[in-house]
Amino acid sequence: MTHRHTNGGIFIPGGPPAPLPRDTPPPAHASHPRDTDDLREIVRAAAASSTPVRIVGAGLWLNGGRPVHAHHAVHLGALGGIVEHVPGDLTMTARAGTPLATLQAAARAHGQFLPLDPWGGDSGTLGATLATATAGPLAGSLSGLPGLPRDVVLGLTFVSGAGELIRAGGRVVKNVAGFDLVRLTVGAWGTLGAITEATVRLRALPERELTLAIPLPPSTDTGALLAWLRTAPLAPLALELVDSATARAAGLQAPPHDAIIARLAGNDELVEAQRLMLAEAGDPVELDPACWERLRTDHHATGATFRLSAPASRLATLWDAARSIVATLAPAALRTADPAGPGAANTGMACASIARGVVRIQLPPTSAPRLLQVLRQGVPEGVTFRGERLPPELWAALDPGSVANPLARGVRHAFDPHRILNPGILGPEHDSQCPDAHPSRPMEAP
Amino acid sequence: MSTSEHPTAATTPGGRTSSHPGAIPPATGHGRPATHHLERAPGWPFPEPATRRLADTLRAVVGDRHLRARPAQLLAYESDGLPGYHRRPRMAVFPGNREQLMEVVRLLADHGAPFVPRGAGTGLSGGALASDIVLLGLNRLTRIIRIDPENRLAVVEPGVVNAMLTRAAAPHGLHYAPDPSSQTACTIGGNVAENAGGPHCLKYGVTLNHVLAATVALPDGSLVQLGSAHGEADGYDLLGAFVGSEGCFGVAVDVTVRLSPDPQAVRTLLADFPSIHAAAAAVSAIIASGIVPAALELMDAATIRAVEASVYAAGYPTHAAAVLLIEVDGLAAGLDADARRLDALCRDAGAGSVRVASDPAERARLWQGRKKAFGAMGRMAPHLVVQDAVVPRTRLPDVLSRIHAIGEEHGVTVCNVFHAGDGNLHPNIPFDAGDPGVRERVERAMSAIMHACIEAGGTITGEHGVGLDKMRYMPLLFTADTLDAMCRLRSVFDPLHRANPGKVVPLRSCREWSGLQGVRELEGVRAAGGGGGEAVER
Repeated sequence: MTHRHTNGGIFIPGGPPAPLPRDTPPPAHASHPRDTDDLREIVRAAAASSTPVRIVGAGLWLNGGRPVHAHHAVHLGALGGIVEHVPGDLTMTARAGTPLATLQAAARAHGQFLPLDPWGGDSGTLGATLATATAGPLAGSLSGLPGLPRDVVLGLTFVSGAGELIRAGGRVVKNVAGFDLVRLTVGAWGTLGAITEATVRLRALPERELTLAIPLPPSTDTGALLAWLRTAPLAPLALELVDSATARAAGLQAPPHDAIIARLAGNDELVEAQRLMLAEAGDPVELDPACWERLRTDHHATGATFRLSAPASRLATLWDAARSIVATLAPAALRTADPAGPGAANTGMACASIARGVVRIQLPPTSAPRLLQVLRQGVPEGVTFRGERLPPELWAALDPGSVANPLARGVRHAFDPHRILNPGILGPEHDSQCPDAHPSRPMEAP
Repeated sequence: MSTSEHPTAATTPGGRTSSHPGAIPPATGHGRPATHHLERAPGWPFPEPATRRLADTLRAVVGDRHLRARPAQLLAYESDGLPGYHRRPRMAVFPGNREQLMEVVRLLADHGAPFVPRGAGTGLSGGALASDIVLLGLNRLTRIIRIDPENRLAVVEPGVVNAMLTRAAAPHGLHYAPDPSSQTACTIGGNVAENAGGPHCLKYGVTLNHVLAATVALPDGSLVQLGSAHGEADGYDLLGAFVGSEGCFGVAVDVTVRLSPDPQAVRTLLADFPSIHAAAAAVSAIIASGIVPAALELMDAATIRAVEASVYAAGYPTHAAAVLLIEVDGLAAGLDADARRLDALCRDAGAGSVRVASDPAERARLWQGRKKAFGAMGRMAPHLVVQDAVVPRTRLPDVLSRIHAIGEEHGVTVCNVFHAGDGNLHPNIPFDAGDPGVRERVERAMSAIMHACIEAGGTITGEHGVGLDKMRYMPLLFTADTLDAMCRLRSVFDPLHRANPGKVVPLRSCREWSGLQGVRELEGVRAAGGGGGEAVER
């Protein structure tokens, strides 16, 4: 390929021409593209030399703990800023390196909010949130609106592993023109392309918001309560079942046991009706709405963070399993002995999205070896295990995951033919460079 | 031309500068004539004996009644919901159950036969037209396999009619939320293929937001499970890619969809406006208010008059320049307050009157007028073009003015009836194809409308799909690199482009594929199947 004026400077973008490493790249190089053209040059040069690169946003995000086999980091932090905010359309276009907090502040100034609330807080970037498709409490909204990250994105611009600039989707809220490259890229962990810009949906701030916690006595029949909550006349923005450590992090004083935390929204009448309805489950305590942010910041991925999921009707069983994992692997003695208090790195915590049937468990790093033992015994039938951040030895013990299937490998090849983008981040990839004529996995009829 | 002339994406990583919407990107034809405006499907690659053998093999699977190969039998499948296009399939096959469907797809793969999956044939973009290839009809696969009220989901075969699913879910207090106007006829399989929308998608989302999993027969006959109904899905969102792939990625064997709880209460309002501008302003005000209506539909004067003159007369005020049909639903608490606020927002924007449907019968009548508006327009003239485009909601007033002007310039009547809350326009033109020159004028007007929507930052289809009808606009919307990426995605699911060939993405946009790799494969199969015959015309 021909190099342009920057010589595709993978390590010194825009700097003096430098020879590209071929065989043994120097370790820990980083480049900081100033704009999309820079990034394309970098990716093209990397592709030409088959040099794996690690895509980095703010540098805070979970990398899953999976080994990314790349010595070169491409930092997208400089590709930041809001490109366009059209309050009347409830849409915002921003570059990938923009921190979520910046977007939220801009939206709030117009009485709006961005319905993305990933675990870990708002200091991460828009690009990383979408690339990892990290879903927070808002994804479990029962208000009728779809709330997963993939439902929030209207359009994406990304640089493929071949250095092409691909503009998928658009800026309008409904769009079926062509094949859906947006869905494919959201949650691909950067392995199909480095996201450079995204257009997202915003929502108007509700007239009124109220966050309530309902402490549950140990005698609670969790199954019956959850079944009631899923069908009760409620339309909360978020509805979580949390253990006592999480409840404490949310600001509930001395919770003896589990609690329900609900984020109610709407006009006065609707919020009041829901408050009364929730009171049937226990005595609601009002929490500071900022508790969600605190909860998300505390519930960042530490030593071992993973999710268990099953059909929502089985959540109570899943919750029991989660509680016993936390109790066994992060005993209370260890937790209370921690002078730093709740939320510190050695706390075990669990919370569950009641609508989605997903439990999120966070364990201190010290418990990782024992978690491996638990996992080796096997995840119960019908329960889905998804690692979020795990020590490398745990990843190695798990299945390669669905990205190893031929169809997924074909997609990877179609967008990143040299497999230079975040190799390894989705698990071990098979050696075959490209699936050939039959990129499909034969399956027995169910 | 040879393959070497067509460097693949792997060897030419980009290099093209992107074009902005509105600009026609440089042709990527790689030797294909630039005048190749509408792409042809690869066509039927087999000589007569091989064709007969394929028909016999398929007949043995589905039975004599369900394999149709005589021209007279195929008349009914020459068109779909898109007027003006007629394509006769070479044969049509209608499997009656899951096993037959899988066997048919396998046999088509064994024979290398290109095919078009088809549901009820109500699509409006020509996506279900089979031009001299096999039409695979799925409308006999109508089994609702399972309804799980506790987890609010249903597993259905692709031929289940949209409204029948809602009917089956009704005893559980549930319904299937996406509600295209054709819901009494269109199928879930077709809805998935097109990523269908409908009025109530404003609040509840489109088909994509309601599909949890699908078992898909890939064009090579193998089965894959996409998505997950049992827990969090992992890896690339291949289900998301499949939904809306317009039959090009394979055939859904079963689909797991989300069912939504019936709202506790509903309020339906009808507001009339002295100008379409005022109605559009009301739409903006409602969107900005934070109230998310379940539906927010706009009908202009031409549509109102058509509806009121038809058997679907809904009591819309015929003096109005536009009406908004607004629905809020959900919990009963606070709903009347929302309705009062909507009333005030409409009046502030200039509404002459606002009325709330007083009972379910009135509500049904107001909705019938909207849902049957296309049928009512059919009374105005023998032919009707139903168009579909989306613009940012704040651009509705300008774009509607522009559309009106375009109609006058070209001497055609444009009837607007659309999902205003989403900015999803349906500018429709009734016409009589018998009038000399009218077809060309309609065509030019539609093209001008599409350009206006793209210039306003919009898109060429919000819910009807690209199909055959809109491929010509794809290069206006997407860069050459993006179109090529779409081609590559298609090739992952269907390397030979045998499923619904010649649709969605213009063939000339596919760099790898323009190397004729797929056609060679087809020719190889043909040679194996008996040799001879003409070269594939491309």
